[in-house]
Amino acid sequence: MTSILEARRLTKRFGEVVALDDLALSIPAGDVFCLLGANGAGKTTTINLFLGFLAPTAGQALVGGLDVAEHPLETKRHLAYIPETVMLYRHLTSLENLDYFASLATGRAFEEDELRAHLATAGLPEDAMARRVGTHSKGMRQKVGIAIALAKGASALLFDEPTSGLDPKASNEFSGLLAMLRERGAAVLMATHDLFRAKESGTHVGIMRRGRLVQTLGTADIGHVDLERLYLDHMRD
Amino acid sequence: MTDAGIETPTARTVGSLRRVFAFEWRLLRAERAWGVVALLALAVGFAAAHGRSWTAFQQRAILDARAEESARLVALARTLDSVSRDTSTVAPWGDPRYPYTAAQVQARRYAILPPAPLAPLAVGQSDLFPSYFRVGLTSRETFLVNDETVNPAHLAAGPFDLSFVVVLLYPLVVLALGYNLLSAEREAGTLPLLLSQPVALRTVLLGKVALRAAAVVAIAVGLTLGGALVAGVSLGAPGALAAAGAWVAITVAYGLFWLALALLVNVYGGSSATNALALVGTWLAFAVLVPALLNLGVTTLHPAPSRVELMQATREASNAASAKGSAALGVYFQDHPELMRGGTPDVGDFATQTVATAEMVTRAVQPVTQRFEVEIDAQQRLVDRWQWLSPALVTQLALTDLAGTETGRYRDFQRQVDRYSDTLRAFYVPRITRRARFGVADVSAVPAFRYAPPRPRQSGMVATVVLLAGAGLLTWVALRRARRVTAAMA
Amino acid sequence: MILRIARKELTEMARDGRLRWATGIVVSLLLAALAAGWTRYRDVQALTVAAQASARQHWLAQPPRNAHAAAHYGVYAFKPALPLSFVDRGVDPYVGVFAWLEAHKQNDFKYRPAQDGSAVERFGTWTAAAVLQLLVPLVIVMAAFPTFAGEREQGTLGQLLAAGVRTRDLLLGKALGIAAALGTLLVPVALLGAVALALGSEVAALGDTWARVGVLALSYLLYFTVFVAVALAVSARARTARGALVGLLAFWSLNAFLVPRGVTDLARRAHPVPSALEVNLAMERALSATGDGSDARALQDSVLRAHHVSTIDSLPFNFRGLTLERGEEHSYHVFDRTYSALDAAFRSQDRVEHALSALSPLVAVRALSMGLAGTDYPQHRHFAEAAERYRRMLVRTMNGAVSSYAPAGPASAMSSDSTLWASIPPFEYDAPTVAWVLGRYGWALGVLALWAAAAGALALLLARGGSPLARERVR
Repeated sequence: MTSILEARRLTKRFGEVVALDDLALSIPAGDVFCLLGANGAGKTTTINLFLGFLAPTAGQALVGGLDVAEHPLETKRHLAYIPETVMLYRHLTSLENLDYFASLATGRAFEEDELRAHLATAGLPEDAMARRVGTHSKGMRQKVGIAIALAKGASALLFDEPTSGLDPKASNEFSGLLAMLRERGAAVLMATHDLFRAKESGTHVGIMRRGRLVQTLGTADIGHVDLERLYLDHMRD
Repeated sequence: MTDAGIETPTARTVGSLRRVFAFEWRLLRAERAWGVVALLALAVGFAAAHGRSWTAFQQRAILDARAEESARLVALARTLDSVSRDTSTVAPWGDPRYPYTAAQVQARRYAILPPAPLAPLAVGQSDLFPSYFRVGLTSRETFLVNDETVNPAHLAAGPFDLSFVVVLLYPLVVLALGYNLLSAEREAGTLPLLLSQPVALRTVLLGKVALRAAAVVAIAVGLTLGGALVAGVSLGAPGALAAAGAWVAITVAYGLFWLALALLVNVYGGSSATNALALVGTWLAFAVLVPALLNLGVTTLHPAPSRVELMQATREASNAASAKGSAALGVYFQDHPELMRGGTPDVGDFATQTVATAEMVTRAVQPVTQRFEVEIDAQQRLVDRWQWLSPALVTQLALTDLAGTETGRYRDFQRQVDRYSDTLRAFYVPRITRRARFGVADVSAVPAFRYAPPRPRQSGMVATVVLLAGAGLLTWVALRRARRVTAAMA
Repeated sequence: MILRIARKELTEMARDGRLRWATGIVVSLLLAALAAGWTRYRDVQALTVAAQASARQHWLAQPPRNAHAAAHYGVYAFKPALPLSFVDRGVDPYVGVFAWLEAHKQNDFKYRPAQDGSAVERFGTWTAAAVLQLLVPLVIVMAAFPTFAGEREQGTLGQLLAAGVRTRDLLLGKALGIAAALGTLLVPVALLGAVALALGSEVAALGDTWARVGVLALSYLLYFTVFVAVALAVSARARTARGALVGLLAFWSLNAFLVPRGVTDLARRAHPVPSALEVNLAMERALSATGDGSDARALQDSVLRAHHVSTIDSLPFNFRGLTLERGEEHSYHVFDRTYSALDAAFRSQDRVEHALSALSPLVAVRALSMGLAGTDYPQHRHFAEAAERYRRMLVRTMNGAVSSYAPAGPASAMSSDSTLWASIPPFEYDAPTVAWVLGRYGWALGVLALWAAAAGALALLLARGGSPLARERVR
């Protein structure tokens, strides 16, 4: 099974500081890989490298088998990025925002029905679709971000701290969305602090520390409490 | 999942461009950025009304002048007729039968500079230089109040005309639309999401710029046409349509230059506030500082001799000439033997003496007046060369040139008036020295002033081309730099 | 408390690279403008003094001739440069530099310097007044726009208020900080200018000049206060620093460019003046309206009767002198009517402009600046009127001399010599006092003070009522 998201000896140095050291990662379709780690451990750097916002010092980041550095625009066709707070154009509605990003991503125009369908699949309530996003909560914005990913037909999704700031209900809805994405065959890379959600919805977890991926394991192989203990063990000293 | 089909990269880019363009339009509309355009429209209306009333004022004066002249000449013919038939008498010093008196009093003609078709759009120098002279025999300044009656405080403040709106206010509108074209996305946080789509930043920027460029063009056209309408410009007059077209072209090029500058500043990644300050600073530099410094430089390098000096030289020369008295007259007739009547000059003849003295004085002050011309021409040449340092200056000079109100046209007019004055002198002086009588037939024989418009300078075209080239260069540099900008730069 | 806040503002400003650049440029421009203005003032002053002396020499060196011929020869009056003109050139480029004082004609001042300039001249001459009126407010905007709005964005405003800092103290502290920054830059420059003034002027004129300098400094101080207050008010209201800046830049450009020109245009429209042609033709018609000579004959008859003689040759004085003087008086009526009508029209225009200065503090400070520098139109007219009075005195003296010629003597006896020329004193001019200037422009100080007070009150109101939160945060 070819992996959709792959990192081969991916390294990023900022001057003297090693932000990412020799990362090896392989995420096939249907997998939800959760990157755990403290702030500054290299999670966001990894995501930025996959997005092509940073150029690697060494190694490769591959999306759908294509090297991100060599095919910046091609790789973005298959990627969707959902940052911690999905910032949208305040004065426009969810529909209009989705229309813009999706049409830019796919190069074609969308009918309103299609857009509404994607927003519904992403869990956005009907009455919020035609409202200006300036008043949207974090959870609603995230849903619009996911709708963009759906409309785009992205096979790989990158989440940065998706559940931080979400209330338990919204957090639970997010799990449901992840399941839906998995069913559609997407590969998900998620940078998160949320150990509970990682165990609940993820297929694999990777613990990062000071730019290195120190341990990878399947979530089915460990329980909630043990996961926490394992994480804290790695974070010590 | 959808498939976009087989598409060439170029078609893809063009499609993205179109999308960004359409989206930006929606975005700007939602942000109510067009308030500034409404303000600009108000300013245009105000400026055009000012230009209209000023040109009407000038034209009224010209009509009055022509009416006064024809009434006076008719009265002169009548007086000459009745006097020759002894049906009326005139005081000796007011007798128009002496050519000198006729030349200096009753038969004076006006030399008039007609306003160009686009004159209501740019006041230029038309409030400082007179557009009509009453020409007698000795000098072209025969009025007591010589300059047009404009409150000097208004001259110092500057006119609120359409060229002011274009050169100073229009860039501010363009900058208001473009100052945050990239920084707004960065500050709103939408940039990472945008850049995670398969569209290059350059494409996004081009799309944003394209929309604003369309706005620039639309505003320029609307501004000119609206302004021309309110100002009462008759587009049917010869050369008016071409001039108006050139006006639009310069305005568009000027606006595009500022837009390109806004793009370049944005690409350097500053905050909206920094961009705004940098752009306003540049605007101030181009619109106010550089012209003022250029003025300083020009007047330091080629200072025009003081008029006080000229006056003193004239005074001394006329002192010398009248001291020489009859000697002067003798020298005069030696130079112009054909003008002598009979064999012996009549020294007591005031008219001949005056004419002789005047010519001596003119010759004596010739070096000083020459220096004036030289320095003023040198100043003008310097300005022509260094105007390219400031697009605002280039535009202002080109616009006033199109409206026919720039310095060159007035100086050319003055030179034509001087030549006309010479023609008049050539007509009258022989009659004066030969003691000929001025008769009814002579009234219509006096040469009239015919204004010869100078050859049109292609300054409008050159300015447009240079400004467009500048805009192109700035855009190219900006897009090249855009390659290095990423969302992580926030 | 206030001082502490002021000090923190000052430190922040000193570290802001943008601000350092801007202030550096502005101060250099100010110094350059002062230097250029000073050089020009000295040159003009030297030229004027020399020219006036030479004109006097020409007058005194006249050969013996008929006194009326001397009146025709006349004298030239040269517009002097007042010391403070090096700060603000005002309308000087647009009024004539000298006038010919001769018999029968009240000539206007000729040769406006701007007419001898190039096309760039109309873009504006670079004076210290322009820097102070246009650029310094921009620097104030740059320094002040983030004071409230920036703190609000950063979140530090909420912390300050939560720490118990009073809004009024915050406002005053920030204002003081900005004022201190401005002071450190402008006060040395002002002192430099004052020193140059002291070294360059005649001691006699100094007293009034210092008074003018004092009021000028006060005017600009008020003007800057207005801007500081407006900037703080806008910053207190705006949600983002960017919004504050855009608002302030809009205010600045309206104040500096739009309103001043618009106001002069409205003034012109409210009180239109006749064209030069109309004025001249009307004057010429009125001057030549000597009637059919019956007035002259009546005068002659009455004079003959009064002296109990039958011919003008028998009169104890030369009648020609009397007719000349009568003719002059007739012309004085015409000139006075014409010029005073024009002056009144211009003054009405100025009044409209001054009334509209409520819309823009620059209009008020511009009027004050020109008035105090002595380069406004009313002070030009003050000089012109003094010159005209001198002319009338000269012509009257000459006509009196003509009257003293023997009525029936030979033409060669009807001449005067240098004793007569020397009896006319040289033309001396006293510039109006600062009291005169304040009488005309004192209202502007009031307008500026009102603006400053209103803006300050608004700033306080907005700072108190404003929310410390930047915008609704994402829940």
